[in-house]
Amino acid sequence: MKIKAQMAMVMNLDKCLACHTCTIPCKNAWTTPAGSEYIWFNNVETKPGIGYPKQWENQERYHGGWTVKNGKPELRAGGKMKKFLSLFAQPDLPDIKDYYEPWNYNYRYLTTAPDSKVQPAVGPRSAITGEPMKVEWGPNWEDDLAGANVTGLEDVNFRGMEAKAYLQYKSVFMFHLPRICEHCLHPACVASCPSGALYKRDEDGIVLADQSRCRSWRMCMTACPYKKVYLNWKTHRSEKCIFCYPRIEAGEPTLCAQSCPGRIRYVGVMLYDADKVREAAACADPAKVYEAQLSVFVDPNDPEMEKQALADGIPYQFVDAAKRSPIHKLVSKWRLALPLHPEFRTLPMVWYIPPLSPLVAGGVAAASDLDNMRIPLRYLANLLAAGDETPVREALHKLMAMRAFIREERFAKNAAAGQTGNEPGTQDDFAADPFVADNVGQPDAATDGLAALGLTPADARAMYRLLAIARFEDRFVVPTVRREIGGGDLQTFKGCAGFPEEIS
Amino acid sequence: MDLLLFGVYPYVCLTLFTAGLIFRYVATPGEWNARSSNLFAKKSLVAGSFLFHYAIIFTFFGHVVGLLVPVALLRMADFAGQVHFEVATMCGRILAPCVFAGAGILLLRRLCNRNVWASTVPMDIVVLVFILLQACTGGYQDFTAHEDVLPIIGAWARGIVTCQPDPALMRGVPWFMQMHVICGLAIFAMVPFSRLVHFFSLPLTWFARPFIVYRRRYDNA
Repeated sequence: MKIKAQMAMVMNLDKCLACHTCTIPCKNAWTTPAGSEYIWFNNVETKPGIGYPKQWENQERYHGGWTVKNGKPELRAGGKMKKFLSLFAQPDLPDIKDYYEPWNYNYRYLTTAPDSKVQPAVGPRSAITGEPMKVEWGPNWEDDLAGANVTGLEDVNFRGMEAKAYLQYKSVFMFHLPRICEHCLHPACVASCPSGALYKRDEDGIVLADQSRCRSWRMCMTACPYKKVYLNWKTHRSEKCIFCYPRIEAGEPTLCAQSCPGRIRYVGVMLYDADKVREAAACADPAKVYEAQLSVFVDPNDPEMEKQALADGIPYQFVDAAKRSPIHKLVSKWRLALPLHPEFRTLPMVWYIPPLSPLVAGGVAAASDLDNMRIPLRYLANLLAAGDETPVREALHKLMAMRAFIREERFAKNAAAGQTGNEPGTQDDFAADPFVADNVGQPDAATDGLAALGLTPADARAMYRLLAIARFEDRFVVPTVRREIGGGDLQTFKGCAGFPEEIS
Repeated sequence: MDLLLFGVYPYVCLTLFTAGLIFRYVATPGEWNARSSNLFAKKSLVAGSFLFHYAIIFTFFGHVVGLLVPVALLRMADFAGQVHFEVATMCGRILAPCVFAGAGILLLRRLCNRNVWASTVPMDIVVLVFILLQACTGGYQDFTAHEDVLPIIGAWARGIVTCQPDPALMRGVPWFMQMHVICGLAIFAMVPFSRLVHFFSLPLTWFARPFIVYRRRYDNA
């Protein structure tokens, strides 16, 4: 057993409305230099859709991630020998057109144009060549389902479903999927880098691309099944999300997480057993990889594990943060969050709480009737659980039970205070909600509902506090780095583990 | 003139080659890469790059064996004189067109694809033109001229690497082979100042290391 610490993130899709506020500070801070215009460490996609780059989830096309061969994890694109002999060109690499050709506008012309009878206008110009171009794709091209009736048909998450039926206006559904690098426990990009430029930081598991070792082999781009490693076309080196490590080291959350107005993001530490990673990635059944990954994590509140973690050299601050980690609660304790495409077997560390959605059947339905949700369970299962509906169903069910319980509790509280639910100014505006309607007037039903899912009222209150109130200090539990480990002022070291000196 | 071209110039090139490489590695390690344009034009790269690289690798080792291995050793392996010449010519007849076609495709895509052109630096073009030139002069020798100069150039090359240069040897060599030698040395001199540095990055260590790399935070500081 060898315990390591990992910085991880959870995103609550129930609350994301694709305002793209996360994307803006990230873009401004990290990917503005020439050559990185098309690179978005953070982008928000609308599902259903094929995303950025086009069809990134389709590994039949890109051959990213891992498969299992003879009981061992093997890069889907092929072994080291095969990749070595084909260093010279990569047929599986996405084309710039799959991401999008970045463009600019000559805004100055708007103010310097000579007098004329018509308003001056500027057209898009390629940021690569400077020539006029036609804009055909972008990092959020399908925003709010734009064009999804066409592109949605190629969405692999419709596996086993009739995509066409769900793309009809009457039955269409959507939700948003913000994406950053997954900082995987078993990263395919790191494994496939021939020159060893990509690495996992030993202290916090953040995956970085060492700019001074990158030789432009671009194996990482094809190997990453999430397509979150990019090639800067000007420096010809790999760049990727750095989990805002200079902020993380100072105890601050990432820019995307801090800026989120919907407070959907959680950042914290997970402890895991590094010796079990390979075994979990070698899980043959795609639908079992999720459970296998859960078994890699260790419980920081177990005194034995705490002792082991400290013995393995994890600083006390990290162990302490792991004990209070919102990620541990959402991922392991309550199992509300699920990994994005666990079947890629990279053991990703940015997890997602599946979104609840209105019931399509109309009228009052049973609270457990998840099959009538507007967003089909099957779709969510294909996205977050390799097609296995059970964990998605369980997570959504818990969210509903938590809502029901909190409403019930409020209702009872208001009733005790002599108010009825219909008085203005009271907090139970949701009394007519179908989810809660079942339970109104049955004081113990909500508690029973919780118990059936293995939750206590205390759990439900804690969940409510974390998910609905979502205070800053509950969402982000980030330990600061010990100065004696860093060996100096953070400012001096900023930039040396990820970015070339000429840029920082 | 011979002394200058075949006595001094080779050492100038080789000095530029070694000193330049060391300087570049120390000064700008971050710019030491293959400058891939795979992102911009995939199909033409797959066609041109595989053809070119495999052909040039075999060509390189062919030259090493053909020129630098002492004749005595070749004799021991029963691989001297006419046999040596025939094998070299045959290899050249296969490889020279491959190098020419591969490098030609690479040059064409660099000139024709506007995105690739935008990410091109002058040195990329210079290198490709020199390689094409080499394929032409080499191909001319293999297909048309059949000048039996292999032992002479071999002796001269061994003289250069053993620091006993004999420029007079090259006097009788026809002009296109002299050009082949001069351009070849120029390519050596260009290595540190172009994308060619990437062939020193052949990732052999990949086979020895585990898949997942962990590094401590300030290991590289």
